[in-house]
Amino acid sequence: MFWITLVANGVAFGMLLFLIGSGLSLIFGVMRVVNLAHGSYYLIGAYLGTGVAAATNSFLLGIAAGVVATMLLGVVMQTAFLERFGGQILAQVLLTMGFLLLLADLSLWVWGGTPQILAIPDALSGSVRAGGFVFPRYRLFISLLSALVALALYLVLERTRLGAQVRAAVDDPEMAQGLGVNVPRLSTAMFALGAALAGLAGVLGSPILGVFPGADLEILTLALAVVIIGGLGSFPGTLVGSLFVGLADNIGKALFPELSYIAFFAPMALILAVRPRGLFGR
Amino acid sequence: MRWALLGLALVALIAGTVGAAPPSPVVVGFVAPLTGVFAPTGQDLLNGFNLYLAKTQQRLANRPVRFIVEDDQFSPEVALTKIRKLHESDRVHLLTGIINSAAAYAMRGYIDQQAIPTVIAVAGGDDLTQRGRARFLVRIGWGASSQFAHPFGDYAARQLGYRRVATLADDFAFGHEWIGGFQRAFEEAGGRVVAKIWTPLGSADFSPYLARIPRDVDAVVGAVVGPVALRFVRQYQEFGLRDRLPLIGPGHMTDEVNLLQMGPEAVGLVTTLHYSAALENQWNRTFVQEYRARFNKIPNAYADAGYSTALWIDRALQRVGGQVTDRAAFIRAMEGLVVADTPRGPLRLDSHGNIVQNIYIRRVERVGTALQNSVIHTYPNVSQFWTYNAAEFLRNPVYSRDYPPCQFCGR
Amino acid sequence: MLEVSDIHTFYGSSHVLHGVSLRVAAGQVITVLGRNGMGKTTLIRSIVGFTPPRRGTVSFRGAPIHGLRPFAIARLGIGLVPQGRRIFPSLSVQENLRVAARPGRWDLDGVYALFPRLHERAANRGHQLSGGEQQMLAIARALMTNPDLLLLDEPSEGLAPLLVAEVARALGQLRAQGMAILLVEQNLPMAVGLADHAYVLSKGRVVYDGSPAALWADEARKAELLGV
Repeated sequence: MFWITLVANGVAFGMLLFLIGSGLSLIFGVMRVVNLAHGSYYLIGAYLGTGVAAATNSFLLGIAAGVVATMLLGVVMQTAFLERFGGQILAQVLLTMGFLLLLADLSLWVWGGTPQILAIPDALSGSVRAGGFVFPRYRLFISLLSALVALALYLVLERTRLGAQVRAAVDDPEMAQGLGVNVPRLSTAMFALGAALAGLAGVLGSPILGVFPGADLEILTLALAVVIIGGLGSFPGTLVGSLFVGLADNIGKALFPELSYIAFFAPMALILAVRPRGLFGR
Repeated sequence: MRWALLGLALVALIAGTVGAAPPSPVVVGFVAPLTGVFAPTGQDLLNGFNLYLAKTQQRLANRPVRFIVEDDQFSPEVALTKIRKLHESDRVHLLTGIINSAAAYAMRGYIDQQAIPTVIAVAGGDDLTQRGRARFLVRIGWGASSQFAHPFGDYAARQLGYRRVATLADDFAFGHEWIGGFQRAFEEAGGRVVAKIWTPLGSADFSPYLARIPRDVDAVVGAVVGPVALRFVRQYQEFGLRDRLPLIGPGHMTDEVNLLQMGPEAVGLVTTLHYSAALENQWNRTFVQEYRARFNKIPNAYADAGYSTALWIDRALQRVGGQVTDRAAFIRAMEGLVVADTPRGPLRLDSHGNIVQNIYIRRVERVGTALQNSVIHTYPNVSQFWTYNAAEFLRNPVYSRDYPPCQFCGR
Repeated sequence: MLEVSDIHTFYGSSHVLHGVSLRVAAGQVITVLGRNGMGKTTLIRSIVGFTPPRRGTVSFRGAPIHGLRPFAIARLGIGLVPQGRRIFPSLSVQENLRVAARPGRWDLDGVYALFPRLHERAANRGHQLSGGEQQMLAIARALMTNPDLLLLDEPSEGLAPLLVAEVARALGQLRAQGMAILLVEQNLPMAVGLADHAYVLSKGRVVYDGSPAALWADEARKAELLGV
């Protein structure tokens, strides 16, 4: 039972990380830039979602607010700032770091330092039971919803013409343009989607993780571990990396609480040593 | 008659002028976190202090007060800087506030060297008033961390009848000292602590630690403080533990501010503290009523700490005629002081400058639509040394992660 | 159809094209010859907008296109078969074709009929193809955009003679259907066999503008301009 609970938890946390990691990976794919402000989308999504859900008493509106706001934030960041520095990787990375700091201070100013927790909606609160196994219903919901999002992302990217165009733009953006694909607009759309996924994760994660100053950096650290282990820009890699970090984090904390960070940073270092581009990196 | 009226007017004028010349104010420096994660705690404390000053029209011992508030951001370094500033540029007569024990430890040397009377309102680190106490430091607010753990260990074994418990606590000084005090008293009363689980401070997700709790225990003792206690209590229920194992612990878990956001998961939790907003005495009833009227919320133990500390300082100043020029005399005045009319019950200091106060056992109950900490048992006049001889008690090491050793762990 | 007049193109501070002008009329096959590093690929990149010229104009069907972004130029009806083929490696053959598709006479069936080999390899990923297959795919991919003008940058490069013949056969078929083609080549026999008109570039300037057959016959000029 101990193990079943740990694994179920690790999967739930891993699936939440998948939402964040896949967004980071997507943005890297089209922009060739590790977006350090990615944790900020999580933070902003969580704060806004929590605020709107509390004010309107609607969890769905909270999700909508978090997703739409981070999507718009992504569009503004990409079109008004990052695109101007196309190809200048260092300038772009510094710019995303600037956004990370700016948004952290802005959040502290708007929402203060008090940690906030989004109340779980009634329909999703409580636990599910199977024999002696008891598991919070909300965590089950997170796992299933994230799995659905993962499946939808997979189908769109791998089975549609739009998805093929995205992958073409990732492979060779100039050539894709030469064939008539509007790569700039596609990049903006993918950037917005990646930001929105992190915003969604923020709203979904808020009831169990809470939102507080510094959550952006914590999440960014975990998301970076996910994509480094899985391979930046690889969809299956992100999924494997997310589950790995989610499980390692939970099992590590339960078995060796003093060394819980080592539980996934040690394998990460090992993987980097053997496969510098991650498990699924090309 | 005309001259008489004129004379009267002159006298009135002179008297008026004399009356208008204000006596020099008492300068009180208040240091607490007002930004960051602990800002709500600092604000509750400040609210309590301000409520008392509002009732006395900003006067202590009938002298006007200059009340200077500084934010230490919960950092010992910042706290020390602010305290130097309060002493060297504001020339404060006394210091109060102080929530972070690490900050309190860091300032001991300075306040003794500069002879600044310091009235701690919250910081609970045991050794602030035990091994290596500062001469100019007294503690009014909460008392020592293990002070309200000893009676609770006794209560869990004798009244609740628990024989085997697991503990789960924040992995920092408060958790170590509180669990240590609990374990000693619980085991001396016949109980056994069979597992001690430590969680990193501010843990977001307790599920991995909850998974480690052994199932063959009578109850779980949880010492998780701050806003994360909300999540802890909720997750404890969501993982199905609540149905099988009672959860008990220090009163932080069901702090009145937390209770507002809690639901059925909190009902029935048994906790301990030196205060409850539901305490039935006339002073507390008045305090709760006035606090609600002014701040539109129910006071918690931090609000009481601010209020009662202000009341204590007022009475101590009255004993020295409002003069803090002789600072050692001011400390001595506090050491002999008894204040009976505080919201939390009668207060006096022990031989080591720490408060002796009632410790209450509370159970969360639903009254109308709201949850409250109903008092179910009172341990009167509990000192930080519990039933032990102070000298013998101080020969033991301070409670820590490994002291007392867990002789029954895994058995 | 395509008119390039007096364009100057730079890579950073290096001046590569020095006032190049050329024309492609509807239904014509034009070849641009020249040794390595003479500016042929830069000419193609200038036309499609990858490296826009700093001076001069490029117009297509009478309208200037030198200020447009590459995807907009492509959508006007210019199909690109780039140097090195630039197949998308993580896409299957069929996906490589579908990402380019725009409505018109060329569709999957049409290009599979032109290159039956691609049909057999439809499910393979781009990086699994041989050089010849990649070249066929690059041409087929450009056709899927249903262009009025096809730009080909050294389609015979690195191919075995049998495959060069296969590519030439396909281009001949397109020519017969009236497709306008701008063919950059180093393979002189192939270019001369297909082209109506030839230009030779040397150090970023047009040094020959005339009949391909005449150039083929003039051994001295051939040696001077092309090193053959």
